[in-house]
Formats: sequence, structure tokens, C-alpha cells
Amino acid sequence: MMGHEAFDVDVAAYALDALPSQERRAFETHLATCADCQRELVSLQRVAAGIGASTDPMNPPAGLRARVLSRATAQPQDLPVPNTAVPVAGRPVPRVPGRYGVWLALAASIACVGLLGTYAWALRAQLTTTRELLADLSVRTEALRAQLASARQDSATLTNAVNVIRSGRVIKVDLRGQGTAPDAAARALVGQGGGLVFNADHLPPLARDRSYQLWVFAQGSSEPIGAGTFDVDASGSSTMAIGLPAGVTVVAALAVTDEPKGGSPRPTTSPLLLGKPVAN
Amino acid sequence: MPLADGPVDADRQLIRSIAGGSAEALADLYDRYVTIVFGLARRITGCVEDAEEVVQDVFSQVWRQAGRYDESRATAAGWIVMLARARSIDRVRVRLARPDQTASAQLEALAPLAASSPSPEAAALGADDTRQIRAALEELPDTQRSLIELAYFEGLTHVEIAVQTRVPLGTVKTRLRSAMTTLRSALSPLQKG
Repeated sequence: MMGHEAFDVDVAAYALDALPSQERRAFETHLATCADCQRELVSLQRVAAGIGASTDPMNPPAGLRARVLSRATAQPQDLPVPNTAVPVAGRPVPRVPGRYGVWLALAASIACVGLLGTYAWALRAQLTTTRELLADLSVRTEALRAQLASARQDSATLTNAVNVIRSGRVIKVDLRGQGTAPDAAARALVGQGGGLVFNADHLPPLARDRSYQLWVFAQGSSEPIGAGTFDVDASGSSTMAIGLPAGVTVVAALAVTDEPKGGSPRPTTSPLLLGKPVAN
Repeated sequence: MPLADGPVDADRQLIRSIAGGSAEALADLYDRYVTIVFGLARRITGCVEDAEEVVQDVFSQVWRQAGRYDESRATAAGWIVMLARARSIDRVRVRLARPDQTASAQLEALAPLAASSPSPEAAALGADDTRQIRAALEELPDTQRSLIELAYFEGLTHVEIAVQTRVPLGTVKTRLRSAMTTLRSALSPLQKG
């Protein structure tokens, strides 16, 4: 069984009803025996109720009061102590002659209505739980799908990187930060077979509609050729393994610019990273 | 939510009377809390019809379960607000599973709603108290307040919040706890117990 520390952060989420079903059940099991969590929960539930009470009050339509009260008070009330004396449902009511028979039939029908009501509430509770489980599963599936896609991309990058390194002679290009990205740095390995592994660090974050674009300068040409776009993570890093643009056999220089999402046919901004092959 | 002894005691008495089958007591409790329940339900569901159904659900549940209400675990106001929030989230989930409501019908239903006046219960809360609760929420950093709103008013679990906001799950949990702890310290002078 997990200790209290494992549930320490769950109390607030539980008070906000923000724990997924499985975690909620685990927490409730712990809660039953943890006085610290019980105390914490009582105070945080007050906060949760305070959040709800702090919303703007609104007057409901005038006719609602009578409707709500008449429908509510027409329902049977739960007993303070759970009633274990549940009558057997579905058993035929014997016919009893005379007015006692009418009263018995009436009593039986009331019992049936009560049982149906109870059954409906039980079904509703089960439905709610099932819906919650489905919602949890859906979210988890989406998260796993995203992780899988990311893992596949990492795997492809690694495979390409290994192929570049195994391709024979490898040329190294160190790129240094320029202009507004003085701290940025990158390294590229260009394989004999035309593959390129590129890793950049400390690049500044870009707006959502912008991407970084890698440019290749072929030997003997001053025209940069787009080699692919990339985004960076929170630390400004990115790794990609790609093929050299068609027609490029010898790399003279590499550059990175800030471009609109999807890339540009030609650079539209000044390079933020620039480098030439390192002489071996 | 009543923050002073008087309303709390009065609420307890009302709940006991409701448990004893008093329709008048339920009517009194309705008058005290309906604007809070309706306002909260309207905010969460975004729909007047759903908010009316939530009011029905909440006061029906209070009627049925008054005998089982444990006053040592929550104030009546706290219980009612939590019921209102839970039933509102239920309504939203049902609607998402069965998206057959038209926006125009919801807009038409909004029309008769005039500016609201606070209920007697809201008056018991005190305008200052309500402002302080709101102020405490507004003073939270955006990164915390947005998570609280996603959990409380949108009904998202912390896993769903992590996916939606792309914030790591551990960070979501920590921020929710920090936010709740901050709110508690801000509210503590107002609350008893």
C-alpha cells in the first residue's frame, strides 16, 4: 500500500473533483484511513465550495420555484439509515378479495414504483461511472497515441542518424548563433550517402505561425536550398535526420532562418545559425 | 455560502426539517440558495434550460437525502454548492454525448433573464465576502487560475487538463495544490473551522 506522500498532491485535485476514476478510487481507499488527508480535504472542500459560491448569482425564471418544489416533494425520501429490508421484486401479488385486496395492490404498486426508482438511480450511477471511465480511457488513449507518434519520430531520427554515421566519411558542420540568437549553437553531420543529422540548442521560441528552416549551400553555389523546417522544444532544442536536397553532393555551408510555418522558397530573414564544414 | 454561525445554524435546522418531511423548509432553503445554484449551473452549463434542470436535480436530491446529510462533513451551503457543481457537470457530459441542442434555442431562453438581485442567502454571505473570494481567485497567477477553472467549471480531470494545456501532469497536480492552498489561506479569515 502506498504511503501518505504518494497522495499528498491528490487531495486538492480530489476536492476539485479532478481525479480520474481510477485515481479517485485509490485516493478514497487511502482517505478512509488517513486522518491528515481527511483534515486537509475538509478545508479544501470549503475552498472548492467557495469557488462555486463566488460566481455571480442569477435569478431563475419565476415559474421554476413551484415546479421544482412540487416535483421534489413528490419523491420519496431516503431513510437516515440504509434500509436493508428490500421487498422482493417481480413476485406476483396474490389476489385478495375485498377492500384489503385493493390496499395491498396499491401498496405493492407503490413498492414497485419505489424499487423502479431505486433501480433507475442505481443505473444512472453506473452510467455516470461508465461515462467517466470512458472519458478517462479516451484521454489516456490520446496521450498514448501522441507518445507513440513522438517515439516513432525519435526512432526514425535515430535510424537515419545511424545510417548517416555508418555511410562512410562524415563531414561535421558546426553552426554558431547569429543576430538575435547569440547563444544558439548547432552541429550537423553530413554522410557520404547524402544523409544529414542536425541538432540545434538554445534557439529562442518562435510564434505559433513561424518555424525554423535549415538551408544548404552547395559547393560552388551562392543559392541557399531549403532542407526542411523544424520547431524547437521548451529548451530551444531540436534534432532531425534528413536527406540532402536533390542535386547537392558537397555541402559548402549550412544556415538556419526564422520563416513562416511550412517554410519559404528563399530565406526571408537573416540567419540565426551559420556554419561551414570543419576541416578534418 | 454562510460564513457566520447564524445562517449555518438556520441551515442545519432547515435540513433537519426537510428530513422530517417539511415542504416549507425545502421552500425556505430554495429561496436562500436558488440564485447561487442557478448562477453556478448557468455558468458551467452555459444553457438556461440545463441550469433549470440542475436546480430541479439539486433540490430534489436535497429533499431525498436530507436525512442522510452529515453536517459534520460540510455546511449545508457547501453541500448544496457541491451538488450544483456536480449536477451541472453531469448535464454538460450528457449534452456532449448527445449534442442535439440548438444554439438559437439557448439564446432565446436567455432573453427573459434580467439583471439578478442577490438572494437573502447571498446577502448573508455579504458583498465584501464575495468580493474577497473573487479577489483571491483573481490574484492567483494565470497559470494556476486557468487550471482551477478547467477543473471546477469545465469538469476536466487533471489528466485531461494536462492534455489540453500541454502542461506536464506533475506540474498540473502541483499547480492545483498550490492554487487551492493559496485560496485557503486567503479565505481562512472568513471561515470558521
